[in-house]
Amino acid sequence: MSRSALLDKLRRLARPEKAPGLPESLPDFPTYADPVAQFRNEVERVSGIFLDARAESGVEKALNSILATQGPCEIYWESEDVFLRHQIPYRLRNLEAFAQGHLIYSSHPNPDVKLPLLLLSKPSSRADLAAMSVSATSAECGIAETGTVVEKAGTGRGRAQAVLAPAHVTFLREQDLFMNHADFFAQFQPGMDSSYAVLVTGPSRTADIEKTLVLGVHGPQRWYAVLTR
Amino acid sequence: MIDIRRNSRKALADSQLQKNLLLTLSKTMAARNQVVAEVDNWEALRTHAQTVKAHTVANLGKYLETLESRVIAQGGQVLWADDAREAVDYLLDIARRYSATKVVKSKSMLGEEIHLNHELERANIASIETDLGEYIVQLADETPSHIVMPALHKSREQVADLFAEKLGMERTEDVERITLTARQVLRQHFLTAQMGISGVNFAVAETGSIVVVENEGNARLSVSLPPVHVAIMGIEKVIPRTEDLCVFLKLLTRNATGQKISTYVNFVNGGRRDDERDGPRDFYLIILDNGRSQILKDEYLSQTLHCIRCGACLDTCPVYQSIGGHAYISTYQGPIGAILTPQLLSMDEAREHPFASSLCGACHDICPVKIEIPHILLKLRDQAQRESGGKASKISAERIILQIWSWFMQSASRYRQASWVARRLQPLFIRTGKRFPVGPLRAWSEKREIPQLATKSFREMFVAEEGEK
Repeated sequence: MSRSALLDKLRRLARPEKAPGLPESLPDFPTYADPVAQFRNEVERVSGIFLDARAESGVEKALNSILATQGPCEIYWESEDVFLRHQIPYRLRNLEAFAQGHLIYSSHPNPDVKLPLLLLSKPSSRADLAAMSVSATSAECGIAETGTVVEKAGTGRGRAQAVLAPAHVTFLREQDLFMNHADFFAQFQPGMDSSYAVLVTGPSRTADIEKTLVLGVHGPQRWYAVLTR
Repeated sequence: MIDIRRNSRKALADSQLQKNLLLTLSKTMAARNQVVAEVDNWEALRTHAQTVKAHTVANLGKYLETLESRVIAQGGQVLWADDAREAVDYLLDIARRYSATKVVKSKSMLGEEIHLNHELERANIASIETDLGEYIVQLADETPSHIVMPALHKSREQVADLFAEKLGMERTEDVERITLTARQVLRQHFLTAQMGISGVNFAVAETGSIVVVENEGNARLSVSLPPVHVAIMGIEKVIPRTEDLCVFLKLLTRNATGQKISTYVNFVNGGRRDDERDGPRDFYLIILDNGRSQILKDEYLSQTLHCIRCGACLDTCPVYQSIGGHAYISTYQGPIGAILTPQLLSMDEAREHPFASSLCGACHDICPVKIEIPHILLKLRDQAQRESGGKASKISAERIILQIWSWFMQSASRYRQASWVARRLQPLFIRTGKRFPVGPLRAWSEKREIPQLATKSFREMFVAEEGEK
């Protein structure tokens, strides 16, 4: 009832002939000689922690640095895709068990790193998700202009994991870094292969009390962006 | 009729409110001006956004239908509501279907507009605001006083008292500890609520995406954890294409909070898909008119619907800076509230709103989509005047004075004589405290300093210097 009445009304009131058409081009967006430097500056500007893992065994160094900051913890990995996409050289024990949807542990190839790495591969309850202390996901892409990473739900991946833990690590490949928002949105097709996508820039924040900045109000307080090759 | 005058007097006398307004708005404006100054083509961005909005608002029906079909194609359901009652009924119906006893809500001005919390509570459904500012306002049983910063009228001391009283925490003015307490309390609600409700910043027609912009992560949790997600939007929130978001986001976040981009920009395309690990099973989109389509009737006024709710016109408005948001007794405050409220409600209810402005034009200068708020205010004042038949005494007194003024201005000799008389009569009033002691000008002069006329007019001085030509 409301639908047709409202749409009829809107159709009657439409005046397409008097309105401008949609603009054919976008205003200019900034470009950078060194997009990685721009990305890093912006991540740090919003109190994020940037780790460059592009060098040889950079990922291990980055993980060690995260573990050093976080103290004893388990890292909850979103899926095996993170390891594959970022060539994280962990010898996963018991891959069959992982494939069957069990939680399994892997050990770090560096004998100095003793902490277990926990893999989550099954749909989990809200309570399971809420118990995480550090979570790790892989970003679809990043945007240098604002130090932003783009995450998506998808096969075996969900919406909530990257926002529940007090600390979160996002892995981003250098080749997936866009210069600016115009470049990113020109190719972005939300809904294409996922019901949810999010642009994330820095740790969760609020300034609702006297404009005093506080990090970690609902989402992570510490937010790492690890750039890989 | 909403009595803005009375509320303003109260607000002006509230020294705590004055302090809170000054502190928050000056910080907000400083941050905003800094990030806007970094953009060298700000004007080109505004023009682009204005063009997209003008195009969309002139073709609303078409784009809403496209949006609907895309949402349905993704497994979502779309519900159309004429007014607040119908939207509330849809929400209550969905809540009943999911046996929801608790709802987590992320910030939505539309939710305020339809008094959603109140309606849910009446149906025995706990409705929890999860944005920190909104949560503070809810605990205090108040309404937001700003579109973007709902609790800006509260100082940290006041929030400390509130949290100690309502949550039983040990009183602290440490903002970090207050925030951590809110995190813990609200996290439990997130983990147990059966339904999530969010607002909508933009709805992209071509992809059927709901875009929710936020900093805290509460909207992200609201659209992720509960088994059902309902998004509510006004008809004017639709935009045709994804690509224009690069412009809208740049304008919105810089203007609203002085950030280059908000921490989270959520894109929701229906409920969880089979292969995804979490997310709500079902997604509903409620598209609400609630008086918006009647604004479309007037071509000029229809630009009111271009607003993207950045709130910057409030921050920069000398009237809002002085009286804050509650004086407007409206979901939407400040300059945008002054033009939106009488058009959404009726001129009868909100006749004073268009007059709550000094017409300085700062709202137009700061508006990311270049809404001509001062001119719309004038047009609405004219409407208010016509609809009341010019009966409002203060308004007709003003009209008589202006008619007399115009008669004197139409002849050089009349003007000369009148100003000669005025210069000699004025000292009588100036001596009585710069006020007209009696008559219709008394109230007017109470709020305004009357400039003292020079003893010699410019013409007299000119003649004395140069001689008559």
